Amino acid sequence: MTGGPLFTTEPGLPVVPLPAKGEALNSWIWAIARTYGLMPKTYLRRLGIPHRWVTKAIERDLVIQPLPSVMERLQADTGMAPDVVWGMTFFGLDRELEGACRRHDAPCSACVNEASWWAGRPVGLLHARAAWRIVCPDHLPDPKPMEMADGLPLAAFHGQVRTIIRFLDRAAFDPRAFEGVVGTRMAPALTVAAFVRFVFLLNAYLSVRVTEFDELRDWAGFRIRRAFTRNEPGEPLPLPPEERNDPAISLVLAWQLVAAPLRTLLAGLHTVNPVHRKTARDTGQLMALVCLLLEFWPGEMLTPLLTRIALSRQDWSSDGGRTGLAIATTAPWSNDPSHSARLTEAHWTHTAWTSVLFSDAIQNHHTRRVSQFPVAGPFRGRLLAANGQAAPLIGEIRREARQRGRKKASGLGRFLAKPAPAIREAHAAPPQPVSPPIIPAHIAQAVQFALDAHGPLPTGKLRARQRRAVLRKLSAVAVRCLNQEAWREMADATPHRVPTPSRKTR
Amino acid sequence: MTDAHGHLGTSARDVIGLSPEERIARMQSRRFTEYPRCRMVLDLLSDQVNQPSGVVKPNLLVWGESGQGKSTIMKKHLRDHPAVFDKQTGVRRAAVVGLEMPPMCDVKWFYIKLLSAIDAPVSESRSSLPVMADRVVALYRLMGVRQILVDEAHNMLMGSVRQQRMMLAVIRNLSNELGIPLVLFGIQDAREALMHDRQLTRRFRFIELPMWGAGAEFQALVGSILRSLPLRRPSPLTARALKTLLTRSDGGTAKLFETFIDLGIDAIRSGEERITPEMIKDYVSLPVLA
Repeated sequence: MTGGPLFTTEPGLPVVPLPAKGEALNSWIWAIARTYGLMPKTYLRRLGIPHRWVTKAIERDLVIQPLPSVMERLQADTGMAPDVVWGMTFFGLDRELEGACRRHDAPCSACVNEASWWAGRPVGLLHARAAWRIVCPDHLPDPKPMEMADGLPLAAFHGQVRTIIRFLDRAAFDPRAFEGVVGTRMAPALTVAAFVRFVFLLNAYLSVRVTEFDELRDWAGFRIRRAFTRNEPGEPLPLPPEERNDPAISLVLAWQLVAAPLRTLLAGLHTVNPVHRKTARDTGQLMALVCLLLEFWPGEMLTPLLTRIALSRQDWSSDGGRTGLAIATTAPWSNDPSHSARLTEAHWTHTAWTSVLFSDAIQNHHTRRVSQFPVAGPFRGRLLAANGQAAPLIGEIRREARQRGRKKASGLGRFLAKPAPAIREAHAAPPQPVSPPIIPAHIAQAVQFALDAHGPLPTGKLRARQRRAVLRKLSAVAVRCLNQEAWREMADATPHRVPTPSRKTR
Repeated sequence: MTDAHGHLGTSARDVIGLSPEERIARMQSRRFTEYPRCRMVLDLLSDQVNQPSGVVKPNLLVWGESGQGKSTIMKKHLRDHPAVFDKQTGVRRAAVVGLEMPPMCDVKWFYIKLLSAIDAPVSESRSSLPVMADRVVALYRLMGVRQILVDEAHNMLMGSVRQQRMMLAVIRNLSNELGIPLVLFGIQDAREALMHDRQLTRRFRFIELPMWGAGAEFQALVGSILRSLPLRRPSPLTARALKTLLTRSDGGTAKLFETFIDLGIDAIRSGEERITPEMIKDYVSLPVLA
């Protein structure tokens, strides 16, 4: 809701139910109809929506891409400020998200109950259709003990979840929002839809535990609990539902992987065992993570791991050399007592990453161009750097894709795109010249005979009963004539002549 | 120094400086001229509206022959109590709602009229009477309606006895449910229709707008009309002229107003700027249009 006045003009209706906070347009229209004891269909007709447009999809049609003419009439009826009316829709939503929002309908029951209680009527919330609202920011569940270590500041963690959701709320309508997070080079690769797909992917294939949360930096540290496995043909198997994380945890992990990929990979996301007790399980987890990210991340996001400076070993302490990237990613904790352990872990992770990236196993897994994961990659294409050499080509491909998407009108506009069914009118169309049907000679002869036998046909208007009687009589004569012809042909064909009794009756 | 236009009322003084054509146009577009009987009815209606809620308010039937100014009084009362939109609650507050009884004694049509009177959308398809009645009560309560005026109330006789009884029951129910008075305007038939229902008779007060007869009240009415006509000179009317006018108008208010407007227009066009007994005599001698 905007801070401006709710009403800007005198409404046409005497009573206008005030929209609840965050209410969807369809819910508000339903409330108006209920106020006047009307069926929603009847009130929609008043708004200029014909009955044939009111399908099962009408609720989402009203919310996603509403027709300006309908909105104008609604505004005139209710006197509501245009900002308020349009604010109850997804007008201006990123086109890529529209499809997802069309399918999505997951209202938070607590939010709905609250809004309905305040409004004193049933309320449907707009955000129930927001596909990017993976969790309700106002009613976050407490994570399970296996998902979060004891003593972590839960409120701060929830605050971080709310910040991310708020950002997504904005980014869904602002295609340049990610520029502030990942920079202008990577921003074209990231959309809200891509990010949401990434969250669900992580949720399905990687289970983690939050081991620390830095309130000062809003930074979470994770340890992998369980990664996906593969079946015989090598296809990745999603984790069983009970093993999966709460979506809020996957959301924070995905956010950190996008906002600060290298720091998260090396200093924020560790395998299950600490650095001096690493086992084959840790290697397996890292391998799974590499496979996952190779499938879905833009290549640019992983290349800094492999650059010369990042890999260069430096004599940093008596423990031996560390990679330059490990030192850089743990720098924020340089004054922290845990720095040494963090650095060692980061070094191990970096080394393991590079060795896995160059291993044969990765080569074998990624020879095919088509992903083995059942979901489409969240990031469109791999070479996505907007300011790189491939930028013009990528831009052209994107434009084409957008044009393809726009060819088919969505929302109520799809009804406008196709012409209304023609009204059937008697003799509306001029008679088209048709070729006369070829009638066999014997049938024509029979009809002629029947007409001759009947004599002059009545010219006046007949009752249905009389019409049926005349037709019966004519058809009986015609059938008799046809029978005679048939008998005659048979008699001509065979030496034994069959008497033709019907001749007498003629 | 005497006031040259002391014979005029406030509304006439405001336009007395205009050109003859404009003054004629103003006279023809006249909406309302107050006179004592009319003021009494209007005061009664206003008292009803202004009474605090919870007080039992009797319904009213204002009855009189056609052309006695019943509809004019109703429109004036509606104009005096306009609806105001409350931006905080999204509700149009209308203390008084006016409507016309449908030309047939049809309960559903009456409910539709009640909904249309407040600009509420009405379903074109078949909707049940209980739903409509419920909506009427709910919306009227929300809007804070405190008085319902129904013109042409005698139309409720345009139906079978059963339909009439149903309509009377609806009126009674509406008054009970909303707890607000209904004011019906109609001819004598409306009074007779109400007499059929003993309960309603008890709840209604009847106010008659009688035909005019010679007397002080009639003179007061003529005085009011003359004060409202934008004529530059005072009109000296004799008792004989007044009697002639009364005979000509058959005691009807509307007819009397029409006569004076015609005479006023003649006075402006002729440059006389007043209505004289001779003009009235001449006017009366003209053939009456059938």
